[in-house]
Amino acid sequence: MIPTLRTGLALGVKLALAYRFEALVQLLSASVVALLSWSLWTAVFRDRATVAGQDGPGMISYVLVAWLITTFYGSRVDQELAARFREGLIAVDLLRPWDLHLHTYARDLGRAGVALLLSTIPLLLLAGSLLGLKPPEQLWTWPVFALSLLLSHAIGFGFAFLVGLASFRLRNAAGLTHLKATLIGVFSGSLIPLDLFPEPIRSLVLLLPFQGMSHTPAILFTERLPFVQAMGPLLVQLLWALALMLLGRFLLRGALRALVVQGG
Amino acid sequence: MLIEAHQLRRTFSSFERRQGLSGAVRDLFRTGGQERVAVEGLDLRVRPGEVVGFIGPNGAGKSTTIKMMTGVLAPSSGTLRVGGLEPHRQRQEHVRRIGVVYGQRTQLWWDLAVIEAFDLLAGIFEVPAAVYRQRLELFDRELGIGPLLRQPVRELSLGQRMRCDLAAALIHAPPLLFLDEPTIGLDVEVKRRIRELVARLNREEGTTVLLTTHDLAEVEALCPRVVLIDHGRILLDGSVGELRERLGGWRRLVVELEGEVDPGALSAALEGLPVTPTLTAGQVELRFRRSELSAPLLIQALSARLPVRDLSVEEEDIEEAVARFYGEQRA
Amino acid sequence: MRPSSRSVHGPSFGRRPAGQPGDTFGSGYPGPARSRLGLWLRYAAMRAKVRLAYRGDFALHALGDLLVAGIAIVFLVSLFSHIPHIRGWSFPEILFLWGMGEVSTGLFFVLFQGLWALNQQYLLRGEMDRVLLRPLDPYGQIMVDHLNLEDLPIVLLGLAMIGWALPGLPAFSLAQWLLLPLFLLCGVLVLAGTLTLFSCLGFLIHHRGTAIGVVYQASAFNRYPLDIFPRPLQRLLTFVLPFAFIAFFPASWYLGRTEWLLGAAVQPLVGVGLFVGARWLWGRALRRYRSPGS
Repeated sequence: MIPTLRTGLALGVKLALAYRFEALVQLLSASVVALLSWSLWTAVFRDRATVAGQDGPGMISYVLVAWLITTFYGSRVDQELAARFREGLIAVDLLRPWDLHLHTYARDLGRAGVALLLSTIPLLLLAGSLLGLKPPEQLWTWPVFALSLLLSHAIGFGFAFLVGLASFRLRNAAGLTHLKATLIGVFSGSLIPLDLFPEPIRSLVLLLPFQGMSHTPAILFTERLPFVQAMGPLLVQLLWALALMLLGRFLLRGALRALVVQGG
Repeated sequence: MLIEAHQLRRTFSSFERRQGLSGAVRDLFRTGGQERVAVEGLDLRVRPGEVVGFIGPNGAGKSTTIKMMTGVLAPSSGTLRVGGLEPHRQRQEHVRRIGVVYGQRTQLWWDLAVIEAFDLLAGIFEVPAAVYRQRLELFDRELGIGPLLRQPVRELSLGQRMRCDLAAALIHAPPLLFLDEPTIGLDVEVKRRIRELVARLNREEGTTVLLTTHDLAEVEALCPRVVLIDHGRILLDGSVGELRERLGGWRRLVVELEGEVDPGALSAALEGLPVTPTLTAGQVELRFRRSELSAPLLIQALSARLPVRDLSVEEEDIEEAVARFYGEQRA
Repeated sequence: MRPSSRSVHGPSFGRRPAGQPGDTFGSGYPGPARSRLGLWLRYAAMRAKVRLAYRGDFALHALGDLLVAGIAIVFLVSLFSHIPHIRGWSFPEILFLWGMGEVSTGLFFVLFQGLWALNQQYLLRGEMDRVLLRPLDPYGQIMVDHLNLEDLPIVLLGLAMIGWALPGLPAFSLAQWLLLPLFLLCGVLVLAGTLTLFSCLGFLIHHRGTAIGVVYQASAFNRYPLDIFPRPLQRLLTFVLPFAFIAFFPASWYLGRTEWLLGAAVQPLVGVGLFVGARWLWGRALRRYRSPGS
C-alpha cells in the first residue's frame, strides 16, 4: 500500500509539473472568477449589512475560499479514466503491479499537492492581501482546515472516479463530465453559497457529499463554528469520503470484470 | 519551367524549454532562439511532365522543401515560383493546381465516410460532376477503392487510407503532384498500385510529380530524375544511372576458394590492383570501382594464383551506396 | 492494363445507369457549388450531419452544456430570493442582461469552437497543413470543422431568460425589438474578435496550452452591471478586453439607463471592427505557421 501511494504521488507530482503552463492558466482563470464574485458580493453588501444571515466580510471570505480551493480538489480523474478505458490503455494499467484505485488516488493527490503550492496558496494569499479575505483568528483552525481540505479532495476524487467508471459503462464521457460539473457547481458551495438556498432545500443539500468539497472547508476557514461543533461537518466529510472511496473500489472491480468479458 | 527555385532558404528558430515554473513563464515571452537551417540555398528547376525523386536522410530538408513548394510554409529567403505563382503568397490559387499526399498523416476528415470527403473536396475544388465520376471510376480501377467509399476514414487500414488519400489528392486532376513519402509502411501490393497509378498519370495526363522517399526501389521504378539532398543542400541532381555513377559505381566480387585462404597468395594476386579484400570463412569479398578495374581482369589475376571454386559479381545496392555517400559527405 | 469492365463488379457500381451526374458510387455530389456561400453551407451541412449521426452523444452533450449554463440561473434565483436588487439592478434586469450574454455566448460556441482546437490540433499536430492545401479560407475551414450545434440549446436558454425577464421590464419600442438581433450578433463578434486576437499568440508561442480559456473566462464579466465593478476594472472591460460591449452596453439601453448610451450605439461598430481586425491579424500570423516535422 505504501509503495503504491509513494509511486502514485511521485507520478502525479511529475505530471503536474510537466503541465506548468496549464497551472498558470488555471491560476489566471481562477483569479478572474474570484475577482468577479468579489465584485458582485461587494456590490451586494454596499446596500445591506447581512444576506442569508451572513455579514459582508464573512460572506466574501466564504465565497473566495469556497471558489479558490476548487483549484486544489478539482479532479480530472473522470476524464482521464474515461479516456484510458476508451483507448484501451486500462489494459496496460492492469499489468502494473499496483492497486489501480489506490494508485489513481495517490496520483491525483500528487496533482492536487502541486496545485496547492502553485495555484491555491498563491491565490489565497492574493485574495488575502487584495480582496479582503480574512485569515482565521484561532490557531486550531489551520490544522482543521488542512484536514478538511484533504477530505474535500478525497470526496472530489471519489466522485470523479465514479463518474469516470460510469462514462465507461455508458460509453459517454462528455455528457457525464458536464453533469458532474453541474452537480458540483450547484451543490458544493463553490459557486453558490449554500446558505442562499431556502430552508428545506438547504438542509437537504447539506446532506449530500458535494457540500464537503467547498462548503465545509469554507465555513471552517471563516470560523463560523466553535471547535467542538466544527467536528460535526468534518465527520460528515470523513464519512462521505470513505463511502465514495469504497464504492469506487467496489464498482471498479465490476467494471474490470465487464471489461474482461467484453474484451474492451 | 514549372518549378523554379532560386537560393531558396528556410530557417526555424528553436529553443530548449527552460526548467521550472519561472522558466515556463519566461519561455512564454521569449521570441528569439537559435536558428536552425532546414533548407540552405536550394536551386532547382523542374519542367512540366518530369517525375523527380527527392532522396535524403531524415531531417535533410526534403519535407521543408515540399512544404514551401505547396505553399504551406513561407520561405525565409530566396525566390520560388511554381507555375508562375508564388506558392505562399498566392496560396489559394496555387493549391487548386496541385495535389499533395503526406504518407504520415491523412488529409481526409477522420469522421467522414470516404465518399463524403471526396464529395466535399470535389465541391471545394469545383470539379464538374461528370469529371468527378470519371475520376472515381479511374481510382476504383487503379486503386480498388470502390469498396472503401462508405467507410469512415478512421476505420481504414493504413494501406486503404493511403489509397484514398492519393485519390483525394487527385480528384481535381492537378497537373502537379507532390508525394511526401507516400508508401511508407505499406505492403508490396499497395505500393505497386500506387506506383502504377502515378506512372500512368504522368504518362497519360502529363502530370508532373515530385516525390520524396526513403525507398530507393521506388525512385528507380518511377523517377528518371533524382535529387539527392542533405543538410538542406543539393548534393546531386541527375538520372538514376548518374546517381549510381556519381555514388562510385562500386562492385563486389565474391570468390569461393578450395580449402583455406592463403593471405600471402591473396595479397600477391592482388598486387597493384585498386581493390580492397575482406576475408571470411572460405570466401573472399572484393570491392572495386567499375571505372578503375574491369571484372574479367580481376578474375584473371585471382584464378592465376588461387584455387577458385566459384565466383559472382554484384552491383552495389543503391541504398548502401547512398548511405555510404552521406557518410563521406559528412566526414 | 487491367480490363475496365472490372469496375462493374464493384459493390457500389451498376445500381443506376451511368451517365447521370453524381450518381455513381451512390455519391450525392451535385457538382460545383454556384457560390462561395453555397460551398460553405454544403461544408457546414456535412459537418452537422456527422455530429447528428451520433444522436445519443449529441443529446447528452447538449444537455450537459445546458446544465452547466443553468448553474447561473440557480445562483441568480437564490441570490435574489434574499435581496431585492444589487445597486439598483433588479432581478428581471439582471436576468435580461444575463440572457443577452447567454445568447451571444451560445452562438459564439456554436460557430467559433474551432478557436479552442487551433493550438493543439492545427498548429502542434500539424493539421493546418491540410487546411492550407485547400483553396478555401483557412480560418473558415477550422471553424466549420468544429461547428458545434450541441450548444444551440444554450442560445435557447438565453432567449428563455430574456422571455422570463420581459414581464418585469418596461415595454420595448419597435426600434428596440428590431435592433435586438443585431446587438446579439454583434455581441458574438465582440467575443469572437477578442478571442481570435488572442488565438494569434498560438502562432508565436509554440505551446500545447492555450491562453484563450482565461480570456473566455473573463468574458463572464459581460453579464454583470458594469457599475458594480471598481473603476479600473470598468475601463479594462471597456477599452482593453471590451467585454462590456457583448451584452452590457446594449442591454443598458433596453433597461432605460442612459449613462451607457454611447456604448450601445457603437456596439455594432466595435463588434464588426474588432472581428475584421482580428481576422486580418490572424491571417498575418498564419504566415508564421511552422509546420511540425519539417
